[in-house]
Amino acid sequence: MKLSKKLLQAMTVGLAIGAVTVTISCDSLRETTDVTPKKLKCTDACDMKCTSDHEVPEFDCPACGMG
Amino acid sequence: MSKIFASIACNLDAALLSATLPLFAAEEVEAIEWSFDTLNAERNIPPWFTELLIAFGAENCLIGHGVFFSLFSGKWSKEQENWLQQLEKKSQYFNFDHITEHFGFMTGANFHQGAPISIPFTKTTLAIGQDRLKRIYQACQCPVGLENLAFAYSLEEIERHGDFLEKLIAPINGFIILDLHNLYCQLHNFGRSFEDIIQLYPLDCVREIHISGGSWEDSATQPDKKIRRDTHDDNVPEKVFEFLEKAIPLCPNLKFVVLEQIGTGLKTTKSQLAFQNDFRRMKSIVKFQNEKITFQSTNDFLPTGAFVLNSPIENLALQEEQKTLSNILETAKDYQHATQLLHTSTLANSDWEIESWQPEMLETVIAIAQKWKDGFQSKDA
Repeated sequence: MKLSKKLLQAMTVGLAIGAVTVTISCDSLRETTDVTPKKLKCTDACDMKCTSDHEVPEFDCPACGMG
Repeated sequence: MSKIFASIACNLDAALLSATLPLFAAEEVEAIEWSFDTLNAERNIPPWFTELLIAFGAENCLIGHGVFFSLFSGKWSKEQENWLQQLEKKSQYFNFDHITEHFGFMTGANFHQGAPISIPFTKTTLAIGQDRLKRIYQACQCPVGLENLAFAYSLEEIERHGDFLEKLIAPINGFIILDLHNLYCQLHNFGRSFEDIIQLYPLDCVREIHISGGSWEDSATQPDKKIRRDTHDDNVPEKVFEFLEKAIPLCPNLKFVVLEQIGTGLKTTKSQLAFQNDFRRMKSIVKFQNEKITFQSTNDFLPTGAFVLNSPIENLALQEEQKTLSNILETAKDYQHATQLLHTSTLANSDWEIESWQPEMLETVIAIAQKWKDGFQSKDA
């Protein structure tokens, strides 16, 4: 499947500069290719009822493979 | 058979995405599978990853694969309720072509800890599994499927697995993920051939196939035997590619073939190139079958009628047994210790049939449970 150049560039930059440090709020399902690190306050839309911004230093998601 | 999509299990994992990026750039990936529940707690999704999911979803080429629902937990939990709410929310935002989960219950006390472990195939577990699959369908409103498990306690269990899966999905007209590496683990560990076992699966219910790699483990109880484990941290074995070539023509409703590998096995350029080679080989097999087979899929895998959901079915005795088993597996010092604990527990002479568990498989399930009891964060394979 063909992906837009803009998206491929955002992925390339994000992986290269360590976009793993990008911090976004619980209300994170938004359309943007901006990879600038940002901190947003947790919103009422967040069902985690958290009291602070979320910041995770690195994503590492093995999903399954637990056998 | 309609077109089959050559797909990648694509999760928020830097090494995996780095390995996959050249395939995306070359427009080679036809669909992606996302384990949508692995980020429920983190919520740290880079915007470009969200866009990637949206892009594939817009072409009906995004499928969701759950990990943590714990389908057969005896007691309905608040975490399962939250999981369904998250699934409903994500299903409204992303356009999943279908949603799947794993067979088994999670051993960990914490919802996001532990590993999926098999259960007795009884009327009780069948009723619980059917109830949970209906709830998943209700949340996602798209076809729902269940994956065959790699681990088994006994040969009888693997011979009955396909039949039990078929009964589980029947009320929702669901489908099966046939994980060929899981099957490879079972065939090796129990000394059976592909032909012995494949016909015991309802192959017309297979909508998705997984291939992946794994690892070998020594056995203290069977020093001459290596146990195959589904760890997803290495290349796809030759045998699994052979299974794929044999399996595709047997599955008339197949739509997605997915390559799975975790990031811990993709840290080097060499391993990333090997992953890309695995994908291209998988795709060439899929392409060959796409050109060869012309008949159309006959099942949309949507429920054929409405169903009513009352309170979740529970069985507190099963829950106690699961807690007992989890505790033994996570704390036993070794196989002998676990055997002693099991045979003096409520699991003795029960539907769990612990008396027929093969020693080397008990060793293996202890290793699995203890590996994952603290969750998956920063876990080396």
